[in-house]
Amino acid sequence: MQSAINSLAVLSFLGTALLFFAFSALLKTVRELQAALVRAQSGAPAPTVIRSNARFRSDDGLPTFVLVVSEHCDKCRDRTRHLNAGAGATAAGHLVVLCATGCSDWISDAGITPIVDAELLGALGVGAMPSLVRYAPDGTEEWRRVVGSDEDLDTLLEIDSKTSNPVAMEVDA
Amino acid sequence: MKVRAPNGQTLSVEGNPLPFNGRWAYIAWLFGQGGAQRFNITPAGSAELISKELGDWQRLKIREASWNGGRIVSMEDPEHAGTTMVWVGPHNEISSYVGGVGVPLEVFMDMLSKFAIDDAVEGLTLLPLAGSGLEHGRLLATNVIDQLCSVQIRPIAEAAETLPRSQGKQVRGGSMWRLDDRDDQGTLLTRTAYVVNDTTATSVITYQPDDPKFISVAGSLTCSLSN
Repeated sequence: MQSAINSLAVLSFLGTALLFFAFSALLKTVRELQAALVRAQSGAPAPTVIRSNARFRSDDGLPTFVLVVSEHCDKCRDRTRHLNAGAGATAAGHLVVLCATGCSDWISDAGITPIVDAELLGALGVGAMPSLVRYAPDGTEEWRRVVGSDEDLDTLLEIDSKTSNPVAMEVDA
Repeated sequence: MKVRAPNGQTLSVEGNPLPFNGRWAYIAWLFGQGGAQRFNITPAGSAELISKELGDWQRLKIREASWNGGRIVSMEDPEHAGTTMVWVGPHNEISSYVGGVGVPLEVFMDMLSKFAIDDAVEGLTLLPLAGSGLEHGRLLATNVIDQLCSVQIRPIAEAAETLPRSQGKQVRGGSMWRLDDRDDQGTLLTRTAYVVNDTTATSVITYQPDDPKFISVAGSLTCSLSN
């Protein structure tokens, strides 16, 4: 009887020990999964989104440059004035200045179309202002860039070929 | 005085007999897979002001846009082929340095988008987002008492290897050591007081080594960092 109880005790002890191993293995799996999730969230490239807007479609085969500005940023005003003062004259495309309010007062050049449309501005989802967005004739967005200075605006307007990576291109330029 | 450090801790500095010149400036090192990145967190407008004071402003190429409730400015130095990038918020600003010229503003926006940034009067916090793989490493907080000394505070964990072996003098803010730097003739060049307690290691560095007011400042200053 005693020996049976002893062996039972030993067996239950062994069982507990085994459970510990099983449990730690389980925890390890959970940790690995968590780490993989974190890696996946940080490392995975975002899916390529093709943005397009029918408002910026054109029939003459020329691209459209949209300068997105805000009334409340003084550099936006400077960039718009620079564009208005003839910077866009050499650009091979249509010129549009888009804002939620106020920018139409900054423009006197008939070659530049001011669009005051908060809804359209929201649909574009531009984070930094002023930004320049280039649209292909079919209304597809080709690239968007933050315009930090008047010289940058000139450079960006002169880029006539479509490129998927204007950031790298500007560094080379 | 209680302020917020960029890593979210509360920095408390009490007992200074003379007022500090301005608000605190911090240098924070963020560690990630690609090594360390240094950020300066200073009162808004500092980088621009300092560069104008130094007379650098004219030769810099400035880019600026408005982003995330503040201004994002890049100051490109063609002479040294480097770019200082700054995000200027309502109260404080974050700046960092990127090598090279023609660096698009998007580069800095990408860097900052890995953080939750909260800018308030009591300090700016720059907390890495989950999954960014970044974490706060070293931290240095600095301020100045006009005409007298500069004060530099570090968390105690980073100062462990710089602690003197000898027993320091007990003062209000912890243990104090006085470090004098003399030349061959025995003339005092600089004098630093090093005050260490449970959470911080503080260096108080004088501008005039024989200024008698200095040692009373070092002896009464109490600094602490808490979560």
